[in-house]
Amino acid sequence: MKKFMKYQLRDMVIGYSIYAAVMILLAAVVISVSVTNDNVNLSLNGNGFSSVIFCFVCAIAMYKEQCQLAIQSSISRKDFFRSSIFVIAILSLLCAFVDLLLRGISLSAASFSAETTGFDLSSFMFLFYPEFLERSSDAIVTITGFFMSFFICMASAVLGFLIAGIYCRIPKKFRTFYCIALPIIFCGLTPAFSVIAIFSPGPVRNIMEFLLDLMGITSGSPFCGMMTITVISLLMGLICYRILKKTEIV
Amino acid sequence: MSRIEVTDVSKSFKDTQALSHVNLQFEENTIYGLLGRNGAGKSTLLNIINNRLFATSGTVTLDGGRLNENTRALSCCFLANESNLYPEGMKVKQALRWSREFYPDFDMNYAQRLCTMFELPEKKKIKDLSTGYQSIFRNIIALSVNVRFLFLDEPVLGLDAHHRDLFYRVLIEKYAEHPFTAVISTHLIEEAANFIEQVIVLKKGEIIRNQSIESLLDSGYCISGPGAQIESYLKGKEVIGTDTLGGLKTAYVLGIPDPQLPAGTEVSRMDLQKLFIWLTENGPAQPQF
Repeated sequence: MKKFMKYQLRDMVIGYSIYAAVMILLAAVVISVSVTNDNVNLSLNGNGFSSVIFCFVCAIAMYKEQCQLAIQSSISRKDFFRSSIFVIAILSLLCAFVDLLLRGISLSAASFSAETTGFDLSSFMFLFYPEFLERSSDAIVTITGFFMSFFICMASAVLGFLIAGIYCRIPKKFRTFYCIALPIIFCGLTPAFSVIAIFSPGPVRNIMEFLLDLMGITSGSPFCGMMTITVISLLMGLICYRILKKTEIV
Repeated sequence: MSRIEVTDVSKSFKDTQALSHVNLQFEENTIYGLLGRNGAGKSTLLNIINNRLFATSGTVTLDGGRLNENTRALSCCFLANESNLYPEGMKVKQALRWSREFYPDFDMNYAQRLCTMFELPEKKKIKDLSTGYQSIFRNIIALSVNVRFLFLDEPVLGLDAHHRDLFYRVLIEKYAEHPFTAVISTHLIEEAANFIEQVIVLKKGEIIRNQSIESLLDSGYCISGPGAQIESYLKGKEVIGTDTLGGLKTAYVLGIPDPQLPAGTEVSRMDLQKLFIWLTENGPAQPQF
């Protein structure tokens, strides 16, 4: 398993290096513009989401090619799965580290020029748990933010792994339909929810409240959210393993 | 002695029964020829042994331990077949380097020597290689991994006569230096007959023959001579095929030759290909071992 993990890490490090370099470069450009121009008000949004998407895409790419190579190299599906989960965890940690680094850069930029207030970096914590930010110290917010990013990236990567797993498992004739249906389901969920909400607002409100409670957004507790994301990741991982164990590769 | 044991393995794909209650043993240091017509179940059997397909029922074990989903046991086996399971962008050189990582006994120097011998471009991507060179690439990896059980599914697919000859020579040399078990599935029976020791014939997912090539070829003989002489000799005998060239006739007959042969006739060893065609077309319905 270790040998295959070495291959997977080597494969991942190239993509990650490019991604991290682009993100840091982007932040540097935005900061330098906001520092040199007092009248410019810039904010860097969505860097956390880009990490989430990066992890998702990496996991999809990892599954198909590397699973085939593992089988060709006489490595069992179980060992491939274990190795992949380790690699996904490392990738998520690295992506969380990029988020942390960007936060560090933004804070240093603010301290570099006391007059600079034109730059702002949004994170998951800022978006979902603003109350927690208000009542906690900077150190706690940074550490919690790091783990939040890690768990969200991890969940996204496991979801990517699951989607690729289902793709490889289903018969070839259904694969095109699956590829078309997936984005439609993902993008169509929110509008569908809105339409249902118009006709029966009660149940939709209850569901939304339940989801917000589950994620700790109502109570402003990111730890509750982390717990929920971890449980969801574990469940998805379990389903993915069951699927992988039954996937024939020829 | 190490051995792979296939016990009561069956495999079905929807309404097709690819394998039906297959029982086999692959002993150490033997070259097996896995023969059968298209769709007989050869590739399915090799894929099941190597954990790529799952048997509907039955087990495959290596020295008593399950081979299925067992990395330790699987590392004693290597399957080279038509499908390219290497990543799209991987180059030959990278594949060799990673094979060295995955298989501790991989002989890099030997692999590079073979690449030179077969003129395989190491810097090219695997997917960009021609069909023949893809076969060569897989064969080079297979011959260099130094595992106890090597499975080659159509190893000479797309190879020209020169490369086929070279491959057979390299395989025999390798086997002579460091014996191992090779299971070779091929349609080029005449070429394979020169080096296989044990023949396994599959027909419609069932094993109809599993015996040494010597005993299989001893089950019949080949007689040639003037057409009229041969015709009269063949009366009452089980003939599995004939070839005629001008006035000369060659017949492939089951059993042992008569002590008194007609004048002008000559007896030689049975032709494996003729026997195979007979076995897989009209051969006995009941499996014989």
